[in-house]
Amino acid sequence: MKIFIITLTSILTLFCSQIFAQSAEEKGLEIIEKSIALDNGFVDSTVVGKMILKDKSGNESVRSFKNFIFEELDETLGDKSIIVFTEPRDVKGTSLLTHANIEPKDDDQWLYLPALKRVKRISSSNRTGKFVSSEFSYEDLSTDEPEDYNFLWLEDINCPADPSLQCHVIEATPKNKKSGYSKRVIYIDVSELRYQTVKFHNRRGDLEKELNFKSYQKYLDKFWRADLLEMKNLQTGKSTNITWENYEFQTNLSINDFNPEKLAKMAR
Amino acid sequence: MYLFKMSNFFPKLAELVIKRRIFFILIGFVIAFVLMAGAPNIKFDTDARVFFDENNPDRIALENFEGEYSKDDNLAFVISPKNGDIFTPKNLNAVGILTEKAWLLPYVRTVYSLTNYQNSYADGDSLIVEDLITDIENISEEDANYAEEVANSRIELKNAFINSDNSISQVNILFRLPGKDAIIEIPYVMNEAEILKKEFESQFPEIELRMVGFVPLNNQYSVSGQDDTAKLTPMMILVTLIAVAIILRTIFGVGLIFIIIVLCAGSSVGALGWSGTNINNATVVAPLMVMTLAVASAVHILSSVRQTMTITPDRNEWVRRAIVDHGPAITVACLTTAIGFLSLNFSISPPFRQLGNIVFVGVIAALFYTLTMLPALISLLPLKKQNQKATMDKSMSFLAEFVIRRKNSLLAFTAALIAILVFGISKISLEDDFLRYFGPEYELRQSIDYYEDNFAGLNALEYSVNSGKENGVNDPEYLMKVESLVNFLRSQPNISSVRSYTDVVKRLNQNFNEDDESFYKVPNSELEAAQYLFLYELSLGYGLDLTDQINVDKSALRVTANVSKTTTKGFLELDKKVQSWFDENAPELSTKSTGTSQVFSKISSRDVPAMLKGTGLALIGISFIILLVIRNVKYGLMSLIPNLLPAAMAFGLWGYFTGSVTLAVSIVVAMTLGIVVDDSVHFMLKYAKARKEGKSPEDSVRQAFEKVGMALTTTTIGLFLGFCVLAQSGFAVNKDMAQLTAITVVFALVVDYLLLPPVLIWIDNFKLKRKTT
Repeated sequence: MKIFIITLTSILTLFCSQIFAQSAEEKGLEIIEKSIALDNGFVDSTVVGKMILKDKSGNESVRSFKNFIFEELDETLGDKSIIVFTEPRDVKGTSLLTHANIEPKDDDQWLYLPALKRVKRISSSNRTGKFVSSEFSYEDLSTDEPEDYNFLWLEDINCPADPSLQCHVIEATPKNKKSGYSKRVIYIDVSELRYQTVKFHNRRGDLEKELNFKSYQKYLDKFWRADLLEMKNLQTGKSTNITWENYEFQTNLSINDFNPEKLAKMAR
Repeated sequence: MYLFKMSNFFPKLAELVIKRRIFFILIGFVIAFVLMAGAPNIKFDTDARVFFDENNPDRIALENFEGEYSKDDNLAFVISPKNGDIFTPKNLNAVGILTEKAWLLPYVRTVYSLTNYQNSYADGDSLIVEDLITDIENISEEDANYAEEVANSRIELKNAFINSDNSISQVNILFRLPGKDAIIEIPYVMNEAEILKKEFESQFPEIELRMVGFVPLNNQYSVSGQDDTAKLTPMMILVTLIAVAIILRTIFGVGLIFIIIVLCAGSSVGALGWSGTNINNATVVAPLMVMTLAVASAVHILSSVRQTMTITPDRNEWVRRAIVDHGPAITVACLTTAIGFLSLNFSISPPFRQLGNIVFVGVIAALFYTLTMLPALISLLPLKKQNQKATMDKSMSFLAEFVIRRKNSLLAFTAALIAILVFGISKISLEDDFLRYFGPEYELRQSIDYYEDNFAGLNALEYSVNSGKENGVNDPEYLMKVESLVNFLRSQPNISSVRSYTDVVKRLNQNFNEDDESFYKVPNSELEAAQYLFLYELSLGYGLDLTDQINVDKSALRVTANVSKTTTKGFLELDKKVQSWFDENAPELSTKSTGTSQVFSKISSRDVPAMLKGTGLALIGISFIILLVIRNVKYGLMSLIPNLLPAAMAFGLWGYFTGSVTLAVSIVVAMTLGIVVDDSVHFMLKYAKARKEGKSPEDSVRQAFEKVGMALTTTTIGLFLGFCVLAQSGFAVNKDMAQLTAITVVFALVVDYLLLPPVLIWIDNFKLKRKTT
């Protein structure tokens, strides 16, 4: 009888833990979804970005640009954005308009070249390519869409870049075979669910790059933005830092401003 | 005695060796083992560039160039479908799969192939930059035809990613090796590449796959070095011992020689190990050379013993006589050889310097072991007394009589022969095709030949064309000049393909203007060019960029011209043509060529003058020793004849029969000088001794032949065979060096036997006559 009760209790315990315990996959997905959801409702934003590319021997080159983002409320579409380059001088005014789409559909992109005063639609299947020769690819700069990855929560540890914080460690494996990575390891702080560090593993599986998000600031009392993104290529010794300045939110941009016909105007 | 002030050194040494034989045997082994303990530290270098010194100006220029663009540590898979057509869906799929899998190799920087070629075109109002084959899993007949059409219309693909008849393609993988330990990294990459190759071959049995490139080539340096050791060492030991056995007819002698040569070779390799230097393709033959040279010394002792044993059964007397009679000559021979090898330190190529030093150590070790340990062993071991004279001795007196009888006609004949031979030197051309340093027995060499026969050139002329200002690569005027340089290069018959960014910017101009072909030209304005470049960089696919085409501050473009099937001379002449193109068309852009091929193509012409200096000094040093020994200026000067002529004759013969020679050419004279000098020194010493004893020149020649003829013949045969073995090396530099040395050694004997005696007789008789009149 005693044995029977023990067996029953243990079976029940097992059964209950099966119901209530979350699998590591589910936990990973949940954290990412929560983190993304926190950013909903910013409507639009403008920011000035400065990209400093450094090679192994310390040679620097700079790209500056203004970034306009329009939040897309439709779940089946991605956000719209415009990047207007201001530096280097000879590409000043060159602008890139992106209408993000959910994979596997490629994003729609248009480019305005001031030298020719013409807007051209360009192909954007190369999301894995380098963004203006930096260590960032388009893939790195776009927001994670939960549908594109399999997530796996690994553990909670001190954040590598800031040990005073606790971080969830989540492994994101891309579903798209064309991704430039075999996996990314994402460190999200437990308290505010902000991306702190991302480690990129190349197609072979070797650790290739490390991205650290620094100097987070809170805007509109709600939206966290890192002022500094430090990307380091561990294999080449090259690095790219992006500093963001003059964040503005809800600046009354209209969806019409993100129309290809308007690109020449936005570029000024 | 006629030697040094130390004339009683050798008798004393002989007594000491006899008295303390056990000590000398033990100390010999101890020294050898201590040295040999360094051998396990030795690793094989896997880098073609071991031949370039750190301060070789061509290497410095190359490394600057690589710093600005990239180092082309590449591996190219050459894809040859058996149906002879790349453009079928199945074959394109294979190329695509190989491209994707290539990305997974270790240290990959970029993979270039036909399928990931960044195809740019206009589509209505859109501008597309995408892989030539966008979806390798679903290639239709139509896609394949389209790819064929595009590929054949793109000048940057023809002869670069498809050959002239579309039957071969390649996937070119560029690596970024960490460069911490090339000895590990390169074999690691190769190993994975081999696995990938096997996988591919089993998946696509109807496609042949070959590998070429710098990574396999560098790997080959260690592979063939190891092959050489494995193949040549037993051969060398066997040949040497058989030769010694036949000549000396004593098994114990053979055993003793075996011990000595192994200890000498071991000591020299061990010294290399202790010095912390890696072994490479050139130095790998050093221990084998030491063996050959050690035999030459040891044979003198043994043949002396062989002669003495017909006279007396007293072992100690055998040893005493061997040391006293031959010690001085052996010492001189070893010292001159050592000096010759030491002079290799003048070479601009580090492996030759290392070779010189290893052999130097080996030869000094040989001197020590032959004068102490070998006699000690002889006095101890049961060497059987023999009564019969060795046959060689008899034939020597025949030879002496012949030479004396026919001295005049011999003088004329050899002089004529020498004149004819030496003229052949003019036919020699320096040929350092580093792609073909390895013999046709190697798979890599076969692949390289296949590639150059059917596809394109692997040797490349590289130019960094500098505009002189930051972002200057977008200046239309500059771009047009680079374009005409590219056109000029493309018009050269030996140049199979040219790679330059100008093709990209011209294509983009056309694409941006709705693919109107009249816009396939350099853009009109600097801003346009800059923005096209920006657009292109924005659009490139995974892992692709222009950093290996345009330098960091965008002031210079790289122009690469692949040159196929040409000689070193042709290669350098092509560069000259380019230089004069610069002078005539764009003197402000003028730049020297660089590239691995270029550094190799110049190495011989740089090393020859450097080694001339070294050889000159060796000659002075060796002549000094000869003078010291012979103590007669006349004979000393005369000894130059048999010492310098043999190498000249060997080069001449080479000129007639082979013509082209590798880097080896620069070191052969210095190397052989020290070796061949032995023959003449031995001969002259005996001759001078006889003359001093009042014998006539003819009788003195007779005596010289009788005393040393056998030993000289024996050592020459030994050396000749030894270097013939080395000539079996799969590495062209070693092969050339060994063959030239083998020929030189034989010519040295010919000169010593057939030319030197008549000259000696002639001069001495002339003087006698003058005195009498």
